[in-house]
Amino acid sequence: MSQYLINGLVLSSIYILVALGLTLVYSILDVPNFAHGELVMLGAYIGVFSLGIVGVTNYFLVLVISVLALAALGLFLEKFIFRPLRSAPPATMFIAALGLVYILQSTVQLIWGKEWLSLRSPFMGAIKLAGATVTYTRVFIFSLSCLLMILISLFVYRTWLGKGIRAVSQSESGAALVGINSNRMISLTFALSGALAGVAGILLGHVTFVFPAMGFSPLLRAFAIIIIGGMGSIPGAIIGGFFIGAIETLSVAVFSAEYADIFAFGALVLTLIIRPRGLMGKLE
Amino acid sequence: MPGRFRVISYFGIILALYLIPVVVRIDYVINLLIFFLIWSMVALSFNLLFGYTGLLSIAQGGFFGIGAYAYALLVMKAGWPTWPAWVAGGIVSAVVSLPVSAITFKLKGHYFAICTLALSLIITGTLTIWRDLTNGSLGLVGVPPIRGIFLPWAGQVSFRSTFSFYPLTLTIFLLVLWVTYLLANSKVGRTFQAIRENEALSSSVGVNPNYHKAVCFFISAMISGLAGGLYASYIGFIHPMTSDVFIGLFALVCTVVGGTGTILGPVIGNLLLGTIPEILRIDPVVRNLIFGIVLIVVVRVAPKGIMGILKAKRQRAQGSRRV
Repeated sequence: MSQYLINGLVLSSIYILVALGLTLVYSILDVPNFAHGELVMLGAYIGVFSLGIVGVTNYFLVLVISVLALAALGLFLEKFIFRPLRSAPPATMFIAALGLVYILQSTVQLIWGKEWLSLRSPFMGAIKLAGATVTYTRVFIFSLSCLLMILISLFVYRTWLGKGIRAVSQSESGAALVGINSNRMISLTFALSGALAGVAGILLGHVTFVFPAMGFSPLLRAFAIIIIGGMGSIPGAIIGGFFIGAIETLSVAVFSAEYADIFAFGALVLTLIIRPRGLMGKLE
Repeated sequence: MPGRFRVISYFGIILALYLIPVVVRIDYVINLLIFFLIWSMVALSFNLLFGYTGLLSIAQGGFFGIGAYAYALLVMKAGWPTWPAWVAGGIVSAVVSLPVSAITFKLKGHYFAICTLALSLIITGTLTIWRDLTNGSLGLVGVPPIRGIFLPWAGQVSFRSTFSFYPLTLTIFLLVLWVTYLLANSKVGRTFQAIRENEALSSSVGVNPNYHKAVCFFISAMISGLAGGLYASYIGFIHPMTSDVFIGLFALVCTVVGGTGTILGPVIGNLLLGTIPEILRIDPVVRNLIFGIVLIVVVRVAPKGIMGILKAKRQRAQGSRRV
C-alpha cells in the first residue's frame, strides 16, 4: 500500500507540472491547449536524443536543452498558430490545437519511429521508506516537481512579470491601458508553459517509457486536474493534482489499474456537475 | 441549375452509387466504400451537433461503441432477432445521451468539449471493466451479421457478403443524409442554428435551448449508435476500442475540413481524408501529418471548409454574370 502511495505521489507531481503549463495558457488565452501533451512527449524525445549526445554525466545539460527547446517551440506555436486565431470563434483555437496534436505526433513518429525508448536517469540506488522501495530517481522527480511548483507560484504571484500575466488574463484591454504589452505577456506564458512541458516530459520518461502517444494520458489527467482545481488557478492545480493522484492510487489499490481512468474522469464530470468553476476557480 | 435538371441528376448519382458493386467486382473497393459510408454517418451526426447547434461534442465515438455493443449483446446474449436489435442499439445510444445532455447543459464552450471527452473515455473504460457483460478488452468475437430480407423484385437477399452489404449500408446512409437535410431545413433545424448563433437571444424569443440541445443530442447519438450497430454487424468483432475517442475526433476533422454546418461537408471531408488516403495507400503516420496541416490551414484560410470555398466561388460566378 505504501508503495502504491509513494509511486502515485511521484506520478501526480509530474501531472501537476503538466497541469500548470495547461492552466497558465488557459488563464491567459481561454484555450484548452490540446497540444500540450504532445509538448510533453516532445520534451521526453529531446531528452532521449540529447542524452545520447552529451551522455548521462551531463544530465542537467539535458534538462536545460529540453527546457530551452520546448520554450522556443511554445513561442513559435503562439506566434504562428494561436495569435492569428485570437479573434476567431472559440472553437477555432481548439481545432487548431487538435491539428497540432496530429502534426507533432506524426512528425515524431517519422523521425524516431514507433519504438518504445527508455530515458536513463543518472541516479542509481534506492532507499527504504515505510516498507516501500523508493529509487533516488523518484526522490529527484518529486523534489524537482515541488521546487518548480513553488517557483512558478512565486513567479506568478510575487514578481512584476507575473503580475503582468495575471493582469492580461483578467482583461487584455485593461492591461493595455496601464501600459502592459499583452502580446509579450502571452508569448512569455507560452514559453513558460513549454518549458514546464519540457521538464515534465523528461521526468515522465524516467517513470514510464518514451513513445509517440505518451502525451495523451498525462494531458487528460491534467485536464481533470485543472477542472477539479479550477481553470486558471495555480494553487487549484496543485491541490487538484494531489486529489486526482489520491483517487487513482486508491482505485488501483482497491480495484485494479483499469478503474483508474473511470474514477479520474468521473471526478472531472462530478466536479462539472456540482461546482463547474472547480475548487479554487474564479467566478465568471 | 433548373430545378428539374437538379432532381434528375441527384437520382442519377444515387442510381450510379447503387450500381457500383455491379460494375466494380473488387472486394477491396466495396469494403472501402462500406467503411466510407459508416464513418460518414458518424461525421454527419457530429455535424448535426457542432455545425447546426454549436455543440462541440467529442463523445460520438462513445455513442458509436454503445450502439455496436448493444447490437452485439442483444443478439448474442439476449437472443434478439438482428433487425430489432439494431434499432434498439440506436435507441440505447440515444437514451444514454439524455443524462449526457443533462450533465452538459450548463457548460459553456470548452468545458462542454472537455466534459464530452471525459464521458467518451468513461464509456470506453466501462466497456473494458464490465467483463461479465462485455468480455472486457478481449472483445466479442463472432457477432452475427444482420439477417437477410425478402425483396419482391430480387427475392431473398442476404447481407453476408461485402457486395450485398453495400446496398444496405448505402440505403441507411442515404436515409440519414435525407433526415439531416429535412431537419436542417425545418423549423427545428433553424431553431438549432439560432441557438448556435446566440443562445441568450434565442431564449428571449421563446426558444427553450436546453430542450432543443437535448433533442439534437438524442438524434445525433441515435445516428452514431445505428452506425455502430451496422459496423458490428459487418465486422463481426468488437472490442472497447470500437468506442475510441479518436472516432469522435476523426468525425470532427472530416466535418471541419469538409464544411461545418453544411449537409454534404462531412461526407466530402471523409472522402478526402479517410477514403482517398486509404486508396493511395498513404502511410497512417503521413496521413495524420496531413490531417494536422489541413486542419490548421482550413481554420486559418477557410473557416467554412471546402463547401464554403465552393459556395463562395459559385456566388462570385453568379455575381459576375449579373454584371
